[in-house]
Amino acid sequence: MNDELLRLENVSINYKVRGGYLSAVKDVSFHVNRGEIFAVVGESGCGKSTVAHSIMRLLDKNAVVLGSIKYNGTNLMELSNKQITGVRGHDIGMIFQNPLDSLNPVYTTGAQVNEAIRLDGISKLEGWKKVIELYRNVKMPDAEKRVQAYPHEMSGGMRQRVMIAMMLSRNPSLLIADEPTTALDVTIEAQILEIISQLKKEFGTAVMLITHNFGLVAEVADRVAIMYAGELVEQGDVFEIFRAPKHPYTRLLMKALPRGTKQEGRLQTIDGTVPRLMEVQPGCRFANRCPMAKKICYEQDPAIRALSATHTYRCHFAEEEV
Amino acid sequence: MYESPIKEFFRSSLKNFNFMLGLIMFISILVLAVFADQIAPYAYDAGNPAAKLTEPCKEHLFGTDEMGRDLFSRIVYGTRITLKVALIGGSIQLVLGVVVGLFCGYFGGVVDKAMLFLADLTWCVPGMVMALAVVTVIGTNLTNAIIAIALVNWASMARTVRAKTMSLKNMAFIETGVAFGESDFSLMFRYILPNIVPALIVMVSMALPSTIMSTTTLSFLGVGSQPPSPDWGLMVSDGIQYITKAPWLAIYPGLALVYTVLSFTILGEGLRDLLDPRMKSQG
Amino acid sequence: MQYVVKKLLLGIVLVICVSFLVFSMLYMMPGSPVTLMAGEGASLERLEEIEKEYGLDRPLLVQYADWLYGVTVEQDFGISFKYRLPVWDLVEERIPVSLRLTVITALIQYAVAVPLGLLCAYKKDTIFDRAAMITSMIMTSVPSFWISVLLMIAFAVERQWFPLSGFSTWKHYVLPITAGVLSGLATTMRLTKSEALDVLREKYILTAYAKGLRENAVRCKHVLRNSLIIICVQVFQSLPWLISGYIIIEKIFVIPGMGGLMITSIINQDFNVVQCLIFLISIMTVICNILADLMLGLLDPRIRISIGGGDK
Repeated sequence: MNDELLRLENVSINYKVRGGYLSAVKDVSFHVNRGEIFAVVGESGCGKSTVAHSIMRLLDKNAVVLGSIKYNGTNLMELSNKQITGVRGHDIGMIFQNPLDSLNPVYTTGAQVNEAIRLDGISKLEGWKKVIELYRNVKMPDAEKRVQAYPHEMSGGMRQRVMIAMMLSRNPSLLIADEPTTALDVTIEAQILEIISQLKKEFGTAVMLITHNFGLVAEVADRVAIMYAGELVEQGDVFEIFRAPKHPYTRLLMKALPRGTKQEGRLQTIDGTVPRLMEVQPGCRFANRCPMAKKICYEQDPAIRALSATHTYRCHFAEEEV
Repeated sequence: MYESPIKEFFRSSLKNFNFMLGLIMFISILVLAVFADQIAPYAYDAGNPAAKLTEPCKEHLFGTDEMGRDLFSRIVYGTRITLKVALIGGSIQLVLGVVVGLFCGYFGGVVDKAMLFLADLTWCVPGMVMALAVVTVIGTNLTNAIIAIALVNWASMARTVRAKTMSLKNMAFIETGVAFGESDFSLMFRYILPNIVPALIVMVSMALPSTIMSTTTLSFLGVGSQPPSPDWGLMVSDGIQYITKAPWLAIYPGLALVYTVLSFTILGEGLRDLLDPRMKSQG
Repeated sequence: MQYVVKKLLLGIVLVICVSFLVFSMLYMMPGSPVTLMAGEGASLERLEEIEKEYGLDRPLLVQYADWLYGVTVEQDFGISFKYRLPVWDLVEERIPVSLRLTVITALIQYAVAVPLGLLCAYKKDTIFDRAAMITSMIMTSVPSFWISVLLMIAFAVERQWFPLSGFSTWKHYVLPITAGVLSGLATTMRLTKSEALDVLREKYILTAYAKGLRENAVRCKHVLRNSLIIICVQVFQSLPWLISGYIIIEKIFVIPGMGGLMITSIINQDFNVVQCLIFLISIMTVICNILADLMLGLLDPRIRISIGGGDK
């Protein structure tokens, strides 16, 4: 039996810019299984959104993608434009960070969802019925009325619900959620996350959740990958990672998590800044911020090491304690 | 590895194709204007009754007009008029734009409202119509045409200066100035103005092409330069009367005008890329 | 509705202010209309007589009030000093000529420029785009009077396809309209391109692709539709400016429109005519601006609410 839905193999993404290439993502490999929630965590600018967009082939024209991205065994990179259009929405859906500007302001939200539904050859009238049904699925209050509402007449949470409804309308097997709750209030965030985990249960939709919020991962994800400066530094089951984080960056991220009621003094922060992608040099990309960095870290790329069948990391010294 | 901003400007300007091209075109015009007496084979108003409406030939590169005046010489002398238009027109717009824009942006309130209303007012009548009316009242000659065009065009510059001033006004270094008891005048001209100089250079260079074109158009319509001035607009207008017999009379002065306007346009785009990268359009 | 009424009132105020401004500007001219009527070398008594006859010796405000009353109540724009005819009789038949030219020009111009601009945005940085941008830069540097002259030389002198001037058959329309279209083409094209590029950068375009819409569907239903908001507003706002652009073209091709009349009147210092024409153009500008606002409301639901006065 093949559980694998999506597999990225040695994916590197470079942006062609004036005076050379900018390495946004370097040698990333991971897979997403059917029906699971796979989280990708990292600071802003670490390339996680770039990876997500590359799967849908939605990157700007100046991006060069190397490696293979296979969905159900088909390499998405090799599809024609027409074929990838068929994959988008139909096989893979995607919701974006800011629901404020991801809906077209001049059409009603219902019409925009219906536009997606009708791609599968459903009549306009049937489509509207389905839109209302979808709105109910995402727990939109007053679903019948809201289909006629314009985006600016809705709150951020409602708009994100519309996005989810739109992307689910064609029953994709995979939903990529690119920071779906970053722009929303904490209470709304919880509601949206609940909808997403419910999807997984009800429809068996796999979700690739991209976030910078490690706390969120603990709540909903099955497996998690941590990215830093365009590299995947550690991945594994959520339990494995949370019980025994190996990469120093992961450990620092965990320390930076606020721990419920037991707040000991101030939040721990990680010193230094992410290297600018143009300046990336040989050696571990985290070295300049790493508390454990030694000489070798600046000279040699660390190889990927496997701790178990699922848990891998990329560091020279991860065995030692921080 | 510290480089002064001026040095850096020169270094990057060498790499900017638009800027260099525009500069070379502009310098060529400047050379023509300065050395017109040496370059032009004839005086601009020297007629030769024996050689009326001569086709372009060896003695008369661009031919002659209905009074036997050498067209090439007239075009060469015309560069002086165009540069005068650019210089005076640009300066009036700059001064008006800066002063009004600074005052409105800095003080706000009634002054600002009044200016916005005035801007709305000028907006109500197309610029060319307004300029024509102004010229009629103050009299038809080149200087007045330049003034009329500048009076019509300065508002857009003032608006930009106003917006920039308003955004600068609330920045920390201005507040420091206030804390040190600087006067309003000093804050406006010593603190805010230097910060908008690059934007001003870009604005002026972008305003020059339309200033030149509009002023020349007024001359073309007969309410700007008066004969026998070698104004290119006037020359094209004269040429139309002989359009069937001597089409070159209307072609060459226009060509010179397009070359000049183009040089300012290209120079302006180059300057914009160099000085104000944020304004860089996608166009 | 409230919004439209407010705009209309503001427009009326603006028109009155502009007309007063122009009126007082012309008033400041030293007695030229009188000398114009009396002819060269008329006696001082004769001049004063004429001044009295036309009420030109009264103070500015009285004259203006009288003029405004005449215009609004009796549609009387005074008398042309040059032709000794009521101004309205002179202007009346010229309005449709100019309007027809302007509207046809605007239609053709946008029909050509908008697709070109969109194409440039879609094919940004290709050879096509670069060539179009360089061409448009050159075209913006060419004044409309010279375009007209070149067209005349090429198509009326060298090849006698179209007449040089006049205004009777359809052939007379071709060159002036071409000149009008060409002189505004580049600006419109650039505007469309930058607007379309702005829209292309919006997140909702990404959404449209992500839900599986085809390239052409995205371009028509989302990019074009949203760029049209600004472009339509631009159409209406540019109409009065096109009229002013036609001043020059009408003069060159000797077309009996408002522009041609305006130039002659200015040169002849026939102020009642100038005053009337500026008044008409400023009214047109105000109307076009209100139409542009309404258009904006029609096309953009975010604005519709505020125009309708629905909330707040």
